[in-house]
Amino acid sequence: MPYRVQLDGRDIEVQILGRRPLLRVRIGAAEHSVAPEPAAADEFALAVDGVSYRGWRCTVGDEVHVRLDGRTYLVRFVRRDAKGGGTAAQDEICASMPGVVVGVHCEPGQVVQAGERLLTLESMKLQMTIVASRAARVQALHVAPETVFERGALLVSLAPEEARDP
Amino acid sequence: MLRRVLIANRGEIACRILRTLRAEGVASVAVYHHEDRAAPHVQLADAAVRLEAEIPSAAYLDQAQIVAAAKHTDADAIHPGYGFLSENATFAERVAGAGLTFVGPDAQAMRLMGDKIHARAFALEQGLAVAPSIVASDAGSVAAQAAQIGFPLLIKAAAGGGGKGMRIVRSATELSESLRLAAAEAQRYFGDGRVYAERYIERPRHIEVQVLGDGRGNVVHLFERECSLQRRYQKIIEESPAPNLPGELRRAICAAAVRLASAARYRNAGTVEFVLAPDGSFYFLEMNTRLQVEHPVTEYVLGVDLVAEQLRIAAGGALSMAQRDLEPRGHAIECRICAEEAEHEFRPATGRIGILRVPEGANLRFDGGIRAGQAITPAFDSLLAKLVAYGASRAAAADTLADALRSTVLLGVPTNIDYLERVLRHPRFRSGPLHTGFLSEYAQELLPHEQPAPAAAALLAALLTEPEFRRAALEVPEPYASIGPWHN
Repeated sequence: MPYRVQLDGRDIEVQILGRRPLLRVRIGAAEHSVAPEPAAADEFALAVDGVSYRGWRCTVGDEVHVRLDGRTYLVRFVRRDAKGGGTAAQDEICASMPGVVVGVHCEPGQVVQAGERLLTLESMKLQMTIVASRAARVQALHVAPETVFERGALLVSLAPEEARDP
Repeated sequence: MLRRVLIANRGEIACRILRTLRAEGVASVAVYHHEDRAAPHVQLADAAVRLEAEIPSAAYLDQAQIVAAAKHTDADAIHPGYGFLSENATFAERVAGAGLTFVGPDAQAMRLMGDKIHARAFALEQGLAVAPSIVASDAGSVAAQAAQIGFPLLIKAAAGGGGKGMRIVRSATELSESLRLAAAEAQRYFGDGRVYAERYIERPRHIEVQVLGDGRGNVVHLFERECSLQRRYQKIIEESPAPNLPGELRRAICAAAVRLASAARYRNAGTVEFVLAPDGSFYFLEMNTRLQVEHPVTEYVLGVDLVAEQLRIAAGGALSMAQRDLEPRGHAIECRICAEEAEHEFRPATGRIGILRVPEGANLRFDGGIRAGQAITPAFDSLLAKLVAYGASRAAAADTLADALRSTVLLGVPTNIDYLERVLRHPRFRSGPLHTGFLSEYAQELLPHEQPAPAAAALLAALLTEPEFRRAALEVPEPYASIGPWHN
């Protein structure tokens, strides 16, 4: 069974094909040979398909940030219990970062269509609009204008609702 | 000369001011919120005073505590840096009232320029052009006059700055909602919900002029900076001199800035901002009555230390330079390293700095206030550091800066380092023309290129930190190796 990871937000499957004489893996559709090499703490060195790479890596929770050849990569391990991203496709819309509510465009009980605005949020200096990614009924609104929230806070609960004819 | 200066700020600008205080032999006092207790500005200062506040940013806005800290530590002056209290006239008065020196202009100049509506009227009186605009107390009158000026319009906060409360409106239907949102945002940030609208100039350049005044009407300009590369109305790459700016136009813009600052009997460092239209007409935008984030590019091309000049003027000294002595040499470019996700609409990011390798070299300056292990929280602005490069030519400066970004390692929080390097290497950045919509115009071309081989190496480097994968890949006998631990 493959290992599932995200590279810069893209889902990728990695499978170990063999270990001798060299470690062989399949990343997506491509096969590679891999030979780890010694490196200082915080750094890494490995040869992939005979080419040597040397860079830095830093673990942050379920993520590893990698710096290689002037480029930064963000790799996230996808665990068995992990659900999808934080979009409004879910029934519970949570904040992806802390901020303040600057506009509420829906009310409890309201039926919203895909693309309809639910909330306007502001985090640090950035304003963004949360839209419904599918038709739904607003089951509960957990914030009001000026509400200050933390990362992960529940903002809106949606219940499934069939799209209606206009 | 000042003896001991309290810095009412944090981060890179606090560290920047500390550097000059040390060089000038002036003692320093830092202030900090508990969350910043291990921050570099606290460690570098000769003394540090903790400010009590529930919300971290509120600590650096607490006038009474800051003035008390200055008195308590026997400081004779307060340098406000930029942001926070730097353009707060009441604070400047309070500092003076406590018998301390405020390193900046007097409260009167701050009030005049701090209110964008008054500042525009003052600029008009001095013969500067301002963009056609609507100034009205209520949204209804703005809407009524909008038709005369025509769309697109730019809505701005009267008390504004930093891009907050600003919106482009392209049609009458968007107007009332945009006015409402801009007013609400202005109220929240500045405690003043007044907004005004002006004609939005398409493909404008943002050109600003650094000035120094002695408060007696003597003003010199330190030439211009080009700050057209912006995202979300906030600058991310600034340079001096402005590329491809005809000499006559440069002289006219700088002269207008001097005229304004002289008329205001401006004291200390300030920046007059202009919008430059493609046809060469330029309009007064606003005057910032403080040190700018991007001041290092001016320091590079003129060989001056603007903080040292600020201290000298604040202590009652005369201007140390005459206009004829000032001649820019070479080219300097600054980029702002921010905790943000450039590929996701530049949304601010948080995390903890795990690895930090700062580039070093000739013609290179890293103005930072960060350290490995530091948490990057949403409590403060997303600016982490500034990287500035100097070169004999613009191309040389851009090359040096791009190479330096490439060799920078800052891991643990997403940053725009890779993005900045792509901008600096983009052929249209090199050739121009620049305008404030540049980054949007070339957004697609500025996305990272696919590089499958290093990407695979990076992915494997990450996976090999995972104990389960590591064991399966390197230690476990063959039959078990392909059974993954976190598969679905």
